[in-house]
Amino acid sequence: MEEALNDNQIVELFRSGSDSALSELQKKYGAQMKRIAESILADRRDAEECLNDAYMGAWKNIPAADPENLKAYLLRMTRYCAFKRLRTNLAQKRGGHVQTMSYEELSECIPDHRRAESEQDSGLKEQIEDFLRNLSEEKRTIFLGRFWFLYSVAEIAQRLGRDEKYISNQLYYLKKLFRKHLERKEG
Amino acid sequence: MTEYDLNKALNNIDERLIEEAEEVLGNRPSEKKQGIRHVAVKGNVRRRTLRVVLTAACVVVLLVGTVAASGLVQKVIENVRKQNGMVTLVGSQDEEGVIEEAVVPIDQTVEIDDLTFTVENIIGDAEVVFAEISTNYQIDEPEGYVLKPVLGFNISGKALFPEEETDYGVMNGLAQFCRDGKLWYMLTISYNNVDISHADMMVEIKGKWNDTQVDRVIEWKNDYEPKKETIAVNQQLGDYLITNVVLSTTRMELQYEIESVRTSGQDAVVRHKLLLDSIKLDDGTVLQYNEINGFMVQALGYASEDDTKTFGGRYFNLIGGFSTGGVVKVVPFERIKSIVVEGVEITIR
Repeated sequence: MEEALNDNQIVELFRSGSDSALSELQKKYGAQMKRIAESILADRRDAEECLNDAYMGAWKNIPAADPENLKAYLLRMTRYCAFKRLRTNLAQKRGGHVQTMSYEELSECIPDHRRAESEQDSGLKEQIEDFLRNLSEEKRTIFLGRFWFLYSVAEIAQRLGRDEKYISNQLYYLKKLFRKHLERKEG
Repeated sequence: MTEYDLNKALNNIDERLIEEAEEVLGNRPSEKKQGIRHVAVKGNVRRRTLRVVLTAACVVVLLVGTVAASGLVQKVIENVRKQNGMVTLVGSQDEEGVIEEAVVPIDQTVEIDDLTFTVENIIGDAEVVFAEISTNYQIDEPEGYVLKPVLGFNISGKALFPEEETDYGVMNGLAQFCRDGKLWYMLTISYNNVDISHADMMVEIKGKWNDTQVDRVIEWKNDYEPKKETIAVNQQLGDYLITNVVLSTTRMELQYEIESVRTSGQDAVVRHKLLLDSIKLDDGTVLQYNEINGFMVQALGYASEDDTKTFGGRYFNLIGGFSTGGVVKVVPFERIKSIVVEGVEITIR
């Protein structure tokens, strides 16, 4: 089986403008990008268009961005493209289905009094980072596994060598804790 | 706040948190997986390696890999092609006017059996030279950028300094084009703080042709007077104070300062992304900056710091970096009236 190029080699291909860059990228990370897109967007065409946007974004931005962690950079871009498309769909009432519950699940954590808050609340990212940094490594991984990497409970359990019930309980607890954290910050 | 805001904010969290979770979940790419690395996620010390100030110093090996692109990737490639459209190379005419006086004809050819490579023209600054290389190799591609692998040659260039052992750190960028049904290259040879405007130069072409390993060299001497203009701006742009715009024949540099930023080198370059949207010429023409091209040295940067400030710069190529109506422009820098950076127009003359 042909060995995938390493990340630096792929970034260099992007810099040279070679379309091999996209092929190599897809070969190495395409499946994970697709999984993220399809985890957020139920419609196959939406997911495909999201991937199209993500590949185009990679082509445009990688040469200048020189990402330190190519995979994290690509998954972040794919998530961004997917959420953007999802929001557009919802706004246009095109039936932007939410494939996984993780997107809705996270909305349960928004304190009621913050729902009217403006989108430009620049402290939100820092609040999330504060919350995560105060968790144990395992809890942080479970939270991010579910809400950033969009893995199912079963997948997280398998990857961490835990049973599903344990992960479900942890997620329940983490969501409550996260909601409290957002409330506390606001108050 | 909506779930979208929350997910968007989550999307943008510190990369180290994502890396750490990724490692624990067993997702790290294999070449980075040499032992579980515990990433310090508390505190402010970034774990990035300090590197030399320029973001990259690599010889680009063009056209590696033979993986067939899937339908989706192929579609993306087609879109890239459409965006790039027809390419106006150095020395050719377009409606904006070109800087023909800056183009130096070279006309040096090497033959590899029936295949020829000719350095047709060069255009350069003190530290950068673009070499336009034609071949007699016929290709069945649309005019403009050619993204797919064509010839398996490694083409690189450098200056031949009298003190041969000195490594000044050359950077190469290579783009390939179809022009009149034939394969052309644009090779960028770039140095940092070394004047190559009168240097002896060489391009090396290595690869396999007719089952034989070949290695050919084309040499010439640069002989042009580099042009450069520094325009003081001193305009605040968010956290950035844009101090100067430095214009030269082939590129534009935005020099900036940021208060109280403790960061350096590569880290600063990655974090301080001043993005150029477009430029406006003296006749009102707006040229959109196009990051999609094959010229490597187009948005490099550098940064240094003292206890309270970071000083940095971003380079943007004036060759191959702009397009209107699908035609890539060579921008005469004397005609640049204003630039739009991060959505803010900065008038420079």
